[in-house]
Amino acid sequence: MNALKEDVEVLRGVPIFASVDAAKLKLLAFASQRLVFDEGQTLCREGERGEQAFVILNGGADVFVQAGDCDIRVASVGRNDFVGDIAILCDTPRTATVRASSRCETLAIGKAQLMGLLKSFPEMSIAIMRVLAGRLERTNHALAEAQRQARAV
Amino acid sequence: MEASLFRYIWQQTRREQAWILFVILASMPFNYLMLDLPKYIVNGPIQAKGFERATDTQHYFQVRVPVPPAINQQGFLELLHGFDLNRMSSLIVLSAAFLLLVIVNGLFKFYINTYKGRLGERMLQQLRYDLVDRVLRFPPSEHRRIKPAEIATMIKDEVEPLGGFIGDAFVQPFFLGGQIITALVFILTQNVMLGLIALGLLAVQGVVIPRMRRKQLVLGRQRQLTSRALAGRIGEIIDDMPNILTNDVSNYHRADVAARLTTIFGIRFALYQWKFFVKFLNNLLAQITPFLFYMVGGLLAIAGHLNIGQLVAVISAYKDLPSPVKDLIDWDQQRLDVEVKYTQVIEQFSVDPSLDLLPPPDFDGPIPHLEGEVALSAVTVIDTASSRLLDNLSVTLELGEFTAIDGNATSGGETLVEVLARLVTPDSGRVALAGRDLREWPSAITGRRISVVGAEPFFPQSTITDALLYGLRHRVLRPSGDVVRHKIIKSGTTSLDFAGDWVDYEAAGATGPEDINDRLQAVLTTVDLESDVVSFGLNRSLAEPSAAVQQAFVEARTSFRAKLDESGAVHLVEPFDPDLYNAQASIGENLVFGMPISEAYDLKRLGSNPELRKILADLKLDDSLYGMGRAIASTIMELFQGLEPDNPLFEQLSLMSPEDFPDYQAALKRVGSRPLKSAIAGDQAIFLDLAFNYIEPRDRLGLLDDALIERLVTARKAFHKALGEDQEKIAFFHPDRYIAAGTAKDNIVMGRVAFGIAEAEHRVNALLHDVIAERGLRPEVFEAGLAFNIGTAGKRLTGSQRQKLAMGRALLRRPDYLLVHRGLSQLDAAGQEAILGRVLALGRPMDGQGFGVLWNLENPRLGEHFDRVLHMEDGRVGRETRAPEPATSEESQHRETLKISA
Repeated sequence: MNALKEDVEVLRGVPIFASVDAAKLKLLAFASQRLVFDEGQTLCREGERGEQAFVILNGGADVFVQAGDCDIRVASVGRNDFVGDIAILCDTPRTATVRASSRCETLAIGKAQLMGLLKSFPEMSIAIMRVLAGRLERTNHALAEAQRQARAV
Repeated sequence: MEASLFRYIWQQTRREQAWILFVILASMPFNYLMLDLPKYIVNGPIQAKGFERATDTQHYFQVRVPVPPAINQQGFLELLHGFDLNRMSSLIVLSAAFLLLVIVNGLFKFYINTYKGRLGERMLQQLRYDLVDRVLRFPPSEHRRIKPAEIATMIKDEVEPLGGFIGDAFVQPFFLGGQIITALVFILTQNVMLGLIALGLLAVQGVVIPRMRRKQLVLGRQRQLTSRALAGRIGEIIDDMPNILTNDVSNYHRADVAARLTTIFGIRFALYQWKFFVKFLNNLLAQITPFLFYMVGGLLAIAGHLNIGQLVAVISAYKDLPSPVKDLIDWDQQRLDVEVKYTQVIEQFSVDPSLDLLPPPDFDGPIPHLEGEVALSAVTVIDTASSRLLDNLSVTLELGEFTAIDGNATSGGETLVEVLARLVTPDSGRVALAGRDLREWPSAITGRRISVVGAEPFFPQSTITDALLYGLRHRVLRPSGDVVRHKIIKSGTTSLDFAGDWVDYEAAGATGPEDINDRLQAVLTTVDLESDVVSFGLNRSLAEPSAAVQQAFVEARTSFRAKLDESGAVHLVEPFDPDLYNAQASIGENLVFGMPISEAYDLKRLGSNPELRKILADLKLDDSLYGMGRAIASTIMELFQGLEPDNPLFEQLSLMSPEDFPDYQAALKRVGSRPLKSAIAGDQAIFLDLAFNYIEPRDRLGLLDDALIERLVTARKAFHKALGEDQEKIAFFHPDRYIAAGTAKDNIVMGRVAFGIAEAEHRVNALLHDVIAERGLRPEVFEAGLAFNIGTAGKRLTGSQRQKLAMGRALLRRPDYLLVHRGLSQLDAAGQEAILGRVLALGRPMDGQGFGVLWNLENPRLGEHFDRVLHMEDGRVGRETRAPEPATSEESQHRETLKISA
């Protein structure tokens, strides 16, 4: 079994890496780390500095956002999802806490590694830009929808 | 110190100098005889004067001492009658006598040179000692003025020539002068004319040359000053490295250094030119004399005023003249040179005349406890920029009380602490400790009874133990009994028995080295550093563990496995099993399967180990591993192709470093796809080493299959069989065997922490702490941790660990009064409060001696723990708050304890 090849396949399934060519994905996979979290272990904690982003290979995790004294679960993530990317792309503290909801296998990509790859291969930056713009568009839609609903109430 | 070098030398070495002068004096007659004898040999047996007939004899070796006729009518006393010799025997006897004199004179020279060399070396070390002694006695206000690099070069390098000179200071002029006078007197007695010629030329040499050399000295002084400034500047650059980087000013510093080097070159070159010109002149003068001797002496001999024997003796006597003269001139030059050096060094080591040097610690009686109060009245401290750090401050502090200072950086809180620590002397006002002026207290009392903790503690490179014991080494308490081979340093009454035991265990509450560790542990627990020390210990190997301890470690492995099992964490560690391949270890580690002790089995160079290679060849494994190494190299080359070597992607690459890429590329090209056998030995090793370093879960190239794994385990067994049970070269991994070369952690885990599991190291370490506690191994591991080297200036510790360590060092000596200036500023609020609570609890124990505290707070909220808080502003106490009076003191103690244990 070639774990590296498997990792490359997973990366290809992640939208932001979908259009990156195979050789670069292989390099990214090689420069990343497999990291397994047991159920309940934390991938990242809101407010802390982030040094890694995670691609989930197997299992799942819940995303929590702090509201006052309690954490509110805002999403669940699973295979092929990319979490923790905002903190390393924007250089901001973690915006949410991610906790493994079952045994969760991930590929951890270091901030410096991802940035290094983006610098060396600008076409990757463009791919990521597209995905982020797509996300923004969706968020805008969602916001407009929420405002419309709020006005209706 | 003495302002004049000669006075310093004379004061320190009177007796030795007198002895050596005496020896030189004693050597002079022999020297004269050696000059005189050739005359008799040439004139007598060689020229046959007095041996005209074959049977003629001459009387030799008659020694008569002239005495007044009252004693002896003949006017002399005959000490040795001597004997008659014929021509041949007299030649042999006289030549033999000459040889004897040569030997005697040689021995004198040998003795004198050795003696004065030793004297010089001793004085050099003494001078260095005196200089360091002086630095240690500098008043605190001078500390900031000193540049460490300059002081260090002065003590180490600049005084070096002084050492060479000290031996010669008195001896050399005396010795050389003696030689010159002997030779001159000899020449004069042979012939006045020749003597006067020699004398005249010597006078020219002796007056002109030294004058010319003065200029050399001026240049030499400039050279010294510029070099010293360079050393200081380089020291500053090193200290300033982060700033240089963050401000991008490295080029400016390069230019600065280059400019200084150019100046030094200019000075040195001028010096060089002048030096050789003087040398040329000197040689010329020295060579003119023999010319005159041959000429004038020859004329005199021809005219019959001088016989040949005399001429030969005079010329040979003269032959010995120039070198002592030159040496004497050199000595004079050196004298001027070192006197200047000495003055310059001494200037650097002198303090402002208005300040006194600190007295050496000379208080020998029992150290009394401090009681009562410290009263400051109208104390003002002004800094160099003439702002008032303390402004007319009057305050009284009870030594038994806990007082806190609350204020910002300009409040004067730090200065107040420094005044009490005697690091700052007030410009006006009075500080009285227990009614007596603080300045009058012997430093031995305040230095032992008051502990000071600053915000940025400094530690010399040492172990944790030594860092903690630092404040207990005041004087030697248990002499080593070692006989010092060279007792050369004179130190007055101060004992210099460095090998002795200096630690004042009693002051720390222990009885000796046996139980001091308990106290260290208590103190480290107070400052919350004990568990860190145990963690250090886990990563160190134990010093000579007993068989029982070794056994306990082996048994602890079972507990550890059980704990892993309990917490569902078996997958965190893959244990070493001699029959199984350990996937978390490299291929090389799996083959050796032990800790290499001998260099030949170094895991980095296994590829060229002949024993392993033979076994791999026998099992035909070497070809597969070689192929694997080649595959790794080509995959990596392909993956990382076109990346700059500083790309962060390389950080994750553990198999090779980007600098080695060209080597691997070249090797790949050389070997092509040919098998192992056709590659040269170096290339074979390169690729084998690459394969040996491979760890599947880390590198994920999918190069290991079950068949290969099985063959590797077979190879491991064959390898062990070939080596036998040899634990000298490799300590094999075995579930039942203790590995002395391994760390405490290695010995309990006996396996590898798995790659790719979140927080695996952290979880394993937590379990290890439990295991050693349960198995009673904590003291051993703690002890190993105490030997942890904290690095230069304690840099291997974090900032907060250093602060904790400094607090521990202050507490270990059980002071009467504890002064703290933001000593826990690098800790978080909870950590500060917990440690502060424990420190104050120590200050007011249920039984025994406690201590008072003055604490310049890092965090105003901590004030509630103190009896009294001084709110300071601009060097004055603005207002003061007091804790409410407790009902009974016992109750308050009780409350205090509750707060601490909470």
